Amino acid sequence: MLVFVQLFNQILVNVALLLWATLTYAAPQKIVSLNLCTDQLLMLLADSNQIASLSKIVDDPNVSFLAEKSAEYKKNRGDAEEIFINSPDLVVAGVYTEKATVQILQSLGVLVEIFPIEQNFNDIVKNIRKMGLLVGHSDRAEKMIDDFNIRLEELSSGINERPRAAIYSANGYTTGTDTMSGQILKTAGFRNITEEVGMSFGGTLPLETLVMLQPDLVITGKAYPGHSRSEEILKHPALRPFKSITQTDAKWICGTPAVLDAVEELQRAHPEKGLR
Amino acid sequence: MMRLGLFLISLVTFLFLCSLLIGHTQAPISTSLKALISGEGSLGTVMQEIRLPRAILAVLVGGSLGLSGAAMQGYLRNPLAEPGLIGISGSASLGAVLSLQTGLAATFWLALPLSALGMSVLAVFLIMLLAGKQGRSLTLILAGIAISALAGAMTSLVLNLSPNPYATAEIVFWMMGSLADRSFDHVWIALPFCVMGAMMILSLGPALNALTLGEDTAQTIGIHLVKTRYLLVIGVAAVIGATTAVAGAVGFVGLVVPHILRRWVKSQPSRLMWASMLGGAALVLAADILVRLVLPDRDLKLGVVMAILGAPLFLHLIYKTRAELS
Amino acid sequence: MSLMTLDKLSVFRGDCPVVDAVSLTLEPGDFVGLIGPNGAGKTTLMRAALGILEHKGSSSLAVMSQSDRAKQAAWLPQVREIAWGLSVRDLVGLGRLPFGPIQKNDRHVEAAIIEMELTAFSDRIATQLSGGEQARALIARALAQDTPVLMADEPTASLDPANQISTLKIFSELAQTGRGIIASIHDLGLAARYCTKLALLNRGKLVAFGSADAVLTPDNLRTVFSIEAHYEKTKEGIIFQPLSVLKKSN
Repeated sequence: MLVFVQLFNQILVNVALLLWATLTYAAPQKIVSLNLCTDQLLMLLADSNQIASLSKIVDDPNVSFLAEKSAEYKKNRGDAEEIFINSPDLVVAGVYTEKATVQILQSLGVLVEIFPIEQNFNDIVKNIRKMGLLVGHSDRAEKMIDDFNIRLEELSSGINERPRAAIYSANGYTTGTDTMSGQILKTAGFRNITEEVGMSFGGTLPLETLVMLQPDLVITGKAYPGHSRSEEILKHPALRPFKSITQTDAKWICGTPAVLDAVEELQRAHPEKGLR
Repeated sequence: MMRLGLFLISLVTFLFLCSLLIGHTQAPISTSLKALISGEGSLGTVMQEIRLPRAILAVLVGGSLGLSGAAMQGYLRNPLAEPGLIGISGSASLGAVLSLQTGLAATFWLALPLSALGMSVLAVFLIMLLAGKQGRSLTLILAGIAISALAGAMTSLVLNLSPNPYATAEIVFWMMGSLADRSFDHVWIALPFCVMGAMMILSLGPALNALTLGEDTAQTIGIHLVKTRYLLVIGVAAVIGATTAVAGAVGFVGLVVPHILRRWVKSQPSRLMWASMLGGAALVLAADILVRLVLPDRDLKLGVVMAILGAPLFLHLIYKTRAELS
Repeated sequence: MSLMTLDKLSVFRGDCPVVDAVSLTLEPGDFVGLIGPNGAGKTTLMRAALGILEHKGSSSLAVMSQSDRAKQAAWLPQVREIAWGLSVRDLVGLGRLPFGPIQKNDRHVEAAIIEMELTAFSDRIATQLSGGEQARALIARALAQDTPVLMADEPTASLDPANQISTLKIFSELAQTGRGIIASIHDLGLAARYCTKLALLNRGKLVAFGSADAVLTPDNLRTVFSIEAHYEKTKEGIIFQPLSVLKKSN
């Protein structure tokens, strides 16, 4: 009996400590972001005076859907010295952020949180929640998640017809069902053509194969400024007979609620949902 | 000779100091130096943990490349030889690229340097196996070319099969070589291999001098050809493997520095090794300084600056040589 | 106490013996001229004797350790390789490598430079000298090594007559101090005049070994070289001049 009492006391103490830690967690006031996706999540969830700097790429409207809003924030070059000297209390980064920089910041005692790449809408929810917790605004995060789920429900309802679509990017790269783009496609009410060729993650789809599959819709990315040979394939004459629409990468590329804007834009080409 | 040595040491010291004082954070020289010694405050940490290891690595990388370049040229009796010839830098790159591709590099930070080193070791075994039992340099060159070609092909294959454009970009940029944001952890990884390898290579001074007379005669002056080859390959593999592992592929130094300094040491291979070690350190320090001064916002890579510096230097050498010959 | 002993030394290329069971000893005071037609195996014999070529049979030099051998015998190859533009002094100084790090003004080096009349060139870059001057510099390197045995492959090739004579005289004097020299020499006249003994090699076999009288017999000249020659002993030395080619006999 005494043993149980002791155990109970122990658990009580631990819970109390955890609670105390959570309640006294002071929201960071100087957050640096080193990655496009964390830049945007940060802008959506943090107070503007919490943000110390964002990465330069967030100003580019080709890839960032918050390019106008981001102009008011300071930008960093991703250089450890520059970041460290300004004593940030939190640094958020992505998986592909320069490893040496992340590692040296961590070894200097800076708190660095890495956000995994979002593969589907569940991952978006997880990352929103994580960012909300880190910036001390879990309430905003929960609200964002609720709005997200409601809108998702709305967008994916009333779909009976599923036209066959293919995502086709530079160098003939296509994305499959197990990716974020794949889920955007599916939610918008299309069937991904990669199912028919067994490419769940995507990969290079030969132009011939694409033509033979006769998709109902071809979705291409908007060409980046400047000429690029790898984007020429998107203008190939063989693709002309097919119905196609162009989407800017900005809302597709990161795991943020903006993916639902991408879904909505895509749905304009859907026979059932698009006529609204 | 003494004069050359003093000049090179002063040059390296001067560039080392410049490297310590150049960076994103502007501060007066005296403040920076005080911060370096005391380590106090953010500036102190910046000086001791960010700038100092970077400068030390520049010396290690440059010294290693210069030394191995001079040694390779001396051993192969060919002024166009460079450390990449025995395929070690290609193999180290392949190891690093594989760890990036498979995501191993993301698991713990040591994974990338260890993969690069591991692949270098494998390459050494392969080269020694291919090059045969005798100490002749021709077979070594052929074996090195084979390994280089194989490593290059595998690296291209990895890039080809890259899962997404970000991974490709990460690999391509890594391969351009960089010392940005390296820490003392990188120094501790590279240092033992660099010191060990340098000692092995420098011990070959008399052997390389003797080889001036050809392999036959060198043997009769007491040089063990096979032992020389082992020391050279393992020594070069150690320094190149280690420096590629922490800094990526930095070219040109091993080729250009011995070429420039040869006439100042009256072509003697043993003296050239020491001079090239210092000259290489100076060159990489200078390039790494330029990386921070020129286009600081665009993340210029060290390997790129090195190539841009190296090519005209080489052209100048060619013109001078042609003038001398005619 | 002989300086070098070869016992049934053979070198095979596949099944064919390039050097066929050659036995000879080199005594102090010997200046042996190794003679024979092209392809007789002279270079191969010397390289095998030194131990830098795989062989059957034995050579007293080949069984020594690398460093001991370097102090016992110096080798001057036919191929005059100077890979880098070293100064003449540095080049000659390479001969002292077996004996440890070289000091400034090493007396062996200085003596060799003077012997080979290179004093005017001693600070010049070796690769910028003429062919003959380079040859002298390389010989100086072998002399600087100061070993009991000196093996030279065609040391007089590409030298002008004055230098040919001077070089062979130097070798001859070295032999008189108690060293042993083996040099392959194409010019039979020079060989006959300056060498104390001749070793005649034909198709890998040692056909004759002894004084010039014993070796340069008309019989040997006909069988090995297919020539007829004028042979005369004078006060100053032997005069030997090939005169005509005979029909090939087996």
